[in-house]
Amino acid sequence: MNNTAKAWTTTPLVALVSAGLPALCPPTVQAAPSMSPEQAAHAAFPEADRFDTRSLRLSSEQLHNLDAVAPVRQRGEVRLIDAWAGTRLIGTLYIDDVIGKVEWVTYALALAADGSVRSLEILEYRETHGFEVRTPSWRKQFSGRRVDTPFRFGEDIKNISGATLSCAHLTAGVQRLMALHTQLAKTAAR
Amino acid sequence: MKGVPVRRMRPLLGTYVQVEVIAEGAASAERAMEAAFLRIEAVHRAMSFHTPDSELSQLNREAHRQPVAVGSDTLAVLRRALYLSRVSDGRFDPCIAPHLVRAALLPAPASPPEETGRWSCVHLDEDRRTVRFSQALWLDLGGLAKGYAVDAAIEAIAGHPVERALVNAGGDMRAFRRTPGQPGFPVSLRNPADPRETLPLGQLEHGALATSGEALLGRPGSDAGLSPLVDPTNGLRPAQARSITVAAPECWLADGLTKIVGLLGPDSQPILDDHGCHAAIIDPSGHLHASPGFWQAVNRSHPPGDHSDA
Repeated sequence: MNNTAKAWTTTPLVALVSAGLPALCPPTVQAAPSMSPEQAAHAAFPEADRFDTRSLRLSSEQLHNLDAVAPVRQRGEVRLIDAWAGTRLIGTLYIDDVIGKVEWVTYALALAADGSVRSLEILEYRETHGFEVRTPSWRKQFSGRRVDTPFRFGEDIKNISGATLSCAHLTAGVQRLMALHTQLAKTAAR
Repeated sequence: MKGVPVRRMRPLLGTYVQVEVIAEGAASAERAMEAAFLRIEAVHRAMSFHTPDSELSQLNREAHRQPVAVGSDTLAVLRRALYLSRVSDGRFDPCIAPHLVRAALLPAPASPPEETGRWSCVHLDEDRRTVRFSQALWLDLGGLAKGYAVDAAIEAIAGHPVERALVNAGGDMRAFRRTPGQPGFPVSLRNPADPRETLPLGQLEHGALATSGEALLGRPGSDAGLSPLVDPTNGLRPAQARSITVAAPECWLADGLTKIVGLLGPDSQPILDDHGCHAAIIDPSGHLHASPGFWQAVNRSHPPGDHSDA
């Protein structure tokens, strides 16, 4: 390129991290509180007059069966909120986590009594990013720069552009919960 | 004026879609939020490549036999797709789905057509609002539909009394602000060499940002090192760029141009100029090559270590 006014410029990625950060992160907005499980339950079942919260520890057999539905890293404990209108069970909100390659997601799946999906909201979303996970070789590049000052820029910022992160892990988690719901309904009917 | 931020995230368009709305009252923010998600859900339903009853799936099954009627969103995205194909001489091509399926980047909904079609095989009838293919082909509007959904959500939000908003569909994002001078949203870039690392890029005050890159993340069991960038002429993936970011006035344009810049490199400058867009390419050696005006677009002065490409 011979036209300097129109030239592309080259920057080492390392320089992006260290340069001019204070100017870049003025105190803008506080990290917004995510939706709470209770908010999600009220939003999904507005006609409910009572909510019962309980938790369910899955047996290894149950977990094994769910792995056959869709394999994904999931905790062995699921939180449930039953929504009641008088003596009638309207539905159940399941709160669960899935762990993907870079993301950890807490989500709330609201299922009506007939097993149909009322809503699906993500309550918390975390990506393992920042310098805590960096390898020593990467850290070395910063020697003498700001190794001692922890890097806070990404702390409550989730506006990340990059190769699209698939929500396949979450989809698998939802399939498992729906299978679990069917199992539980069968057990209850017995 | 310091508004109340409300944030929601839902799985849509195959990724995590986050909407952040800052309004003076929480009720206004919630209403704008719901309007935004309604639009995104509509685009999701119409243009999912995987759902058999989406308009897109119907096109892929039937449009080579007869004209198929589509809704205004699908028509709008197709119009944009064909526009990008035209201005890029076919470097952008919405018919590369069979290549992506072969590379296991897209699950196959059925057995693929025998030949990979080209964008020029897609014909829109704007008056009748129908689409016809001159041969069997697979249309995939993935990234462009995602960008369009972000635009549609921002437009819906702008109709409500909100101060600022950001819609981020898995890296395709657009910011809105009612009046100039309000702070932007800090944005980071995922390091294509290590998806767990994010690099602070700058601030997005208004306009859109999209990135296409090598690491297709989070699909269980798939190879994360494959690029969704495909040269439509030969189905090959270029090796020079590891990720491409484009700043544009609208998000469909930002997403679509990432593919064109990925194939053309700095030679895409005339197309970027024509559309008021700016681009950054990350190469395999860990350098970011920015087009003129890119840093201004993300409100960042040139970082140190910056030098002109000679």
